[in-house]
Amino acid sequence: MEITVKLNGVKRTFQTNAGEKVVDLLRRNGILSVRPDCDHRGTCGACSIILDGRKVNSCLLLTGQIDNREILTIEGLSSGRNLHPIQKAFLSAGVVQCGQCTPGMILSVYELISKNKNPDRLAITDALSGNMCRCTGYEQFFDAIKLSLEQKPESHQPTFRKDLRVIGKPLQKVDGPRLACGKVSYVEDFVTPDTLFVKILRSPHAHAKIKSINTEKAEALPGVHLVVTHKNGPEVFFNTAGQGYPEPSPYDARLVDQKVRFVGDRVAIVAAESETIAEEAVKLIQVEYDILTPVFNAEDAARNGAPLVHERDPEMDPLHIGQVKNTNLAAQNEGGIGDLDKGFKEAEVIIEREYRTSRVQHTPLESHRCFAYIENDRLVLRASTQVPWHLRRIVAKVLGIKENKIHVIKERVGGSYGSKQDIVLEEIVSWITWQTGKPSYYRMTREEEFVSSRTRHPMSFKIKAGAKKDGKLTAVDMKLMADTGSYGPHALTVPMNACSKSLPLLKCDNMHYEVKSYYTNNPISGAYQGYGAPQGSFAIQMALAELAAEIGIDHKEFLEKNMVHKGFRLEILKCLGEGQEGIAQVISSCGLDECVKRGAELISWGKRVTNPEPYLKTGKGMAIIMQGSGLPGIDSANASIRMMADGTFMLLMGGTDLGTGLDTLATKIVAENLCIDADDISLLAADTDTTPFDVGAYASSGTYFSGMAVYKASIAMKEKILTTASDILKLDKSKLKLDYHGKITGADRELSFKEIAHCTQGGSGSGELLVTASFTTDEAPIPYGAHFAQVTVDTRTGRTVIDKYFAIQESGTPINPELALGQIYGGVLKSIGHSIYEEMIFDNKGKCLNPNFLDYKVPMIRDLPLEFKAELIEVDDTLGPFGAKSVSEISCNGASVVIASAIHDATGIWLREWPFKPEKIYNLLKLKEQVPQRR
Amino acid sequence: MVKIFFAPKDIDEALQLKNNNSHSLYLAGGTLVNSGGKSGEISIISLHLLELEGIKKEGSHITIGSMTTLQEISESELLKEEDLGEIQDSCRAISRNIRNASTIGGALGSNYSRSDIIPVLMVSDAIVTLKADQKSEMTVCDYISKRSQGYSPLILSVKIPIPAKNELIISKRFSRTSLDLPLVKLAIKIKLQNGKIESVRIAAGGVSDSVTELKDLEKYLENTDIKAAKGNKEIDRIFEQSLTSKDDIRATADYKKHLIKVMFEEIFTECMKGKN
Repeated sequence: MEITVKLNGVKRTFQTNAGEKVVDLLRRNGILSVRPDCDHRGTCGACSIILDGRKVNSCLLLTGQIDNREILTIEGLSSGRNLHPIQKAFLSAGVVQCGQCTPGMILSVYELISKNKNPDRLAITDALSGNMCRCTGYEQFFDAIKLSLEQKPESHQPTFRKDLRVIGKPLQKVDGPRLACGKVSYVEDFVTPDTLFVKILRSPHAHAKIKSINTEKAEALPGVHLVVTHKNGPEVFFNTAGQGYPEPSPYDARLVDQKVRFVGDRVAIVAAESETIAEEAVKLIQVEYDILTPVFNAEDAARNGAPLVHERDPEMDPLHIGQVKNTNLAAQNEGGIGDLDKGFKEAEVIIEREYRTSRVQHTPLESHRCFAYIENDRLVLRASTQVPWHLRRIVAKVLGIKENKIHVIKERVGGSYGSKQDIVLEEIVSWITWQTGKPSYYRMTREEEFVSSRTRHPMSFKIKAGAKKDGKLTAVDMKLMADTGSYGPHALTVPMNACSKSLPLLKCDNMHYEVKSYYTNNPISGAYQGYGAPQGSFAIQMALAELAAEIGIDHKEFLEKNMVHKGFRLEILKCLGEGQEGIAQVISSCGLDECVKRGAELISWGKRVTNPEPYLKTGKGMAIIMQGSGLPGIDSANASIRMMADGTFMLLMGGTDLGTGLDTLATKIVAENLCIDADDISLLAADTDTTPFDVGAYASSGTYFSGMAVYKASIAMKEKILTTASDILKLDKSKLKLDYHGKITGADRELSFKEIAHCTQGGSGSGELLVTASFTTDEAPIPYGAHFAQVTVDTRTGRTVIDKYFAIQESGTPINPELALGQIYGGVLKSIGHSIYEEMIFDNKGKCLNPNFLDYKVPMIRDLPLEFKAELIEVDDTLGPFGAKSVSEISCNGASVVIASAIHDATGIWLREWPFKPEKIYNLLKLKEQVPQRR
Repeated sequence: MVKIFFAPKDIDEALQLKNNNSHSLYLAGGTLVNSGGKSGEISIISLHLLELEGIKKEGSHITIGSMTTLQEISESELLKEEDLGEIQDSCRAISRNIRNASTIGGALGSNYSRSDIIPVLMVSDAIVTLKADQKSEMTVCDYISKRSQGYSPLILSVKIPIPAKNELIISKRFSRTSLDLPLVKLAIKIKLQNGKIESVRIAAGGVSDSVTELKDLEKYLENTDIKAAKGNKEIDRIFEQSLTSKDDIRATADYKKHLIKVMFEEIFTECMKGKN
C-alpha cells in the first residue's frame, strides 16, 4: 500500500505493507534516529517522533495510521551543521552520553517547551516519563531544559583546577553533535542492503543434549544461505570474556555446541536474505533433545553428585583458576592478611551474617549488534564493543585465521555497562561472513539481550566480622559463592573483585576471603559496571552496619574509625590479583574523609525525621565506596599524535569510548598539553587497523590507562615540537615554551605550529612530527566516595520512597566534570534499580519470565529520588593524567547499602537480599512484630 | 501478523468491515494492539479517521469520544471544572508517550485488569455508547463483563455523570515503578449525607482477570456510618470473599489483597477528612 506523509516539512510518498510499524518504515527510508530498542513494545521511547504536534512511540504505530499526517523527527530539528537550541543545551548540560536515547529525549523537550515556556520539575518529569535513559540517571536533564529555555550555551556545571585551561572545565562532547542530531553513528546504521540477517534457534531446555538435528527444510527455504549447528560449526573452544591474554576465564564455549546449558542457549544459527526468512527457517529446524537434570543455584551445583554443566577438561584453559574437573567448580581463590583467629580472639563483639544478591541485567538501550563484511579479502567487523583488540583475537581463534585478516571498527556504543566486554555475537556474524563471503548482521532482540547476553553474577556471602567495643575492627572473614551461569566468562575475576573493591576500604589487620564460582544452568553471568564490587560492597558494608548496631556505635562513626586514608598500604591487594598475584599498593590519595563529611552535612546525619502519619517511618543510611583505575601490571594502552600541515593534530588512540566521554577526555589532555583548542585536534579511536593497541574499556581503565597513553604522547609531541623549534630558531630548547594558541615563544621570537609543520613537512624538513606513547604501570589511583540516603517506608505496604540521595565522590581531577557527574547519577540510579526494583525472575525450569522492560522494571525519570545530588570533591593525586582517577563504576557500589541501612534506621529490619521489594519489606515487618529480628 | 489495514471514513464502513472480516480488530491509538508481535493473521480496522474525538458537556454528563487520547483527557479544563479530576489523574499515571496516543476507547476495549482507567470509569457509573448492528448503551461495568466473554462492538463514546456535590471519586494505584502498570488499583465513588454512606461504588483492578466491582462490599457499606468502615473486621471478611487473586511474578495473591485493603482504608480516611 502507499501512504503520503509530511516528513520533516517535506511531503513524501512511501510504499509499505499493512503490518509495518512506522519506526521500521522510517529507518528503511533513511531516518536513522528512531530505534525499536524495546522490540516494538513502547516501553523505551527510543523511537519517539512528533506526530501532528504530539510525541509518540513510532514502534506502536502501523504505517497506515500516519497516512496524510505530519511527522517531525530529530533530523528535521537541526539545519545542516546548525544545532537547535535544545540540542545545544543537551550538549552543554552533559546529558548526551551513549546518545541512544538522545533524539527521543530532545523531541520530548521540544514537545514540552512548545506548549509550556516555564515548566516546573513536575512538568519536566512528566514530559520525559516515556523515555528511558540508562546512562545519565536523568537528573541533568532538568539543567538541560533550563538551558534550552534560557537559550544560553553555558552550562551551570562545576569547574575544577583553576590552574588549567581545558581540564576540569565543561566542553562540548566531541561526538556530541552527531549523536544529538541522530546522524549515522551506531552499528545498525551501517548495514547494507545486500546483508544476510541472522536468527538463532535457542534452547527451550535448561540442560539437554541434542540427540538429532535436521536442518534440511530450513536450508531448502529460498533466501537461506547458511545454517550452522554443532555439526558444521567450528570445533574450537574459547572464552567469551574480553580480557587480556592469557585470560583468567575458562575456555568453555563453542560457536554452537551439542549440549545446551540454559534456556536460550544456541542450538542453530540461520543466515538469510531477510529477518522474516531467517525466522521462518528457524521454525523449520527439527531437534530432538535428550533432556538432562538441570541445576539452578550455586549451592546445589556445589553438592556431590550434582548434574555436571560442563564435562570439559580444564587443562585446555590458559590459566589455572582453581577449576576442578568433573565438578561444577569453575574457579576458586582464597587469601588474606594477618591472623584471622587472633583477630577474632581480640574481638569483643562478633557477628556472622549471610547476604545474597540477585541476577540483574545491564539493559543497554542498544542491544548487542554486529555487522560483518569482507573488504580486500579481510573480515571487517563494525562492532558495538568495549574491547576491539580482544574481539579481534577471539574471532581469529574461532575462525582459525590470523589477526591481520581481521579489522574491527568500534562504532558509537549505545549503552554497555560491561555487557559489551564479552564476545556475545560477533563470532557468529564473523563465521557467517567468512563462510559465505556475504555481509551479515545480527541484532539481539530485547528478550535475547536479557536472557542470552550477560547478567550480573548472583552471589551469596557468609561474613564474619569482629570488633572491639570501641569500634575498632579486628577481623573480617568473607566467604562468597558466585553463580557464573552456564559458561564462565569472568568466573574468577568478578567474584574476586567483590573482595578487592570492598575489603581494602578497611584498616583491619586480619582479613580473609574465600571465593568459589560455580557453573549452573542459568543465563551467563559476566561483567557489569562495578564488576562484583556492588555485591561485595553490599555484603561487607551491611555486615559492618550490623556490627556497629550490635556494638551500639553510630554507623558513620564506626566507618570513620575503620576506613583507610592516604598513605595506607593496602597489603590485601597482593593476594587479590586477576588470575595472577596482585600488587600491594600505597594509597596515593584518598578523599574519603571529605566525602563522608560533606555527605553527612547534606543529609543532616544524626537528625531524626518524624512523620505526621504513624505508619510512615523515615531513616538514614550511608556507605563508603571505592573502585580501581584499571589493572596495574595487566592493562596497557597506546596512543599516537601526528601534526598536520596547518599545525593542527590528529590523535590516534586505542582507548574505547562507550559514550562516557573518553574521546573528549583524550582531546582535552592533548589540548591542555599542546596549548591549543580542542577543535584543533581530530581523533580516531578504537580501530584495530589504524589506531594503536589498547586493552579496551573495562575495569575503570579508560581515564587512567588510555588517558595516560594520550598524556604521554602529548608530552612527547610537546618535546618534539620544542626540539624542532629549537633547530629552526637556532635557540636553546630550554629557552623556549609552548604558548596558547599553538605557538612556540622564546626570547622575542614566536613560531606558530603551522610554521613548524611547514618546515618539517617540506622537502628540506625533518619529516612529519609523529609520536607514539604507551602506558603500563604497577600502580593505579583509587577513587573513593560516600553515599547517603534518606528513605521513608510505608509500614502498611513496605513501599519505600527515597526522599534524598547524595552521592559524594572524588575522582582526583575530574577532567570532564559534567560527564563525570552524569556517570555518577547514572551509576547510582542503576544500582537503586538493582536494590529496589530490578530482578530477573525464572520458573522452575529455568525460563526467564520477565525479559522485557515493563516486567523487569528499569527505573525511569519518575522513579528518581525526590532530592538527588551528585558532587565531586577535588583531590590531588599524582598518578593519573592531571591527577585524574576513574569515576563511573564506583558509583554503583553504594546504593544497596545506603538504602538497606536507611530502611533499618527507619524500621529496625535488616534486608540481606536484593531486591528490597515492598512485599519482602512488608513480610519482614510482620515477622518483626511476631519475633523481634536478630539485631 | 497484520494482513490488511483498513482506514474506514465513517462508522458504517467500519462496522461493515468488521462484519466482513472474521479475524479483524478495531484499532484506536494502537498502544496495546500494536505492542509486540501478534500471533495469527489479522485485519486491522483503524478508527483514526472517524472523528470520534472530543470532550463535551451534555446535560448532567460529560461525553468523551472514544478516540480522545488520554493526554487530551488529562488536559481538559471541563473535566477539572466538573470534579472529574480523578479520571485525569488516572490518565497522568501513564507515561507521556503512551497517553499521547492511547485513547479512552482503546483503554476500555483492552479490558486490562491492571488498567489505570477502567476502575475509575466503573465507579463513576460511566456509560459506554456502542455500535454493532445497532447503537446501544450500557454501563462500563456491564461492558467489561461482556467484553470478557468476547463481546467487541465499536465504542463510540463514554458518558460520565457529573458527580453531585456530596459525591467523591478517589482512586489509588500501587506499582513498583512508574513505567509499570499498576500492581493493583482501587477506585471508589462515595456519596455521603451527614457522615452516612448514601451510596458507594468500589472497583478493584489487578487482583482478578478483569477489573472487579465489589458489589457485596458496596451493599454492606450502604447506609452505614463512614466511621464504621475503619478497622471493620466484617469488611476484611467481605474482601477475602470478593477478591479472587493468584500469585504471579509481580506479587503473591495475599499481598495484592492486602494492598487493596490498605488502599480502601486510606481512601475512607481521606473521605472522612473530606478530600475531593
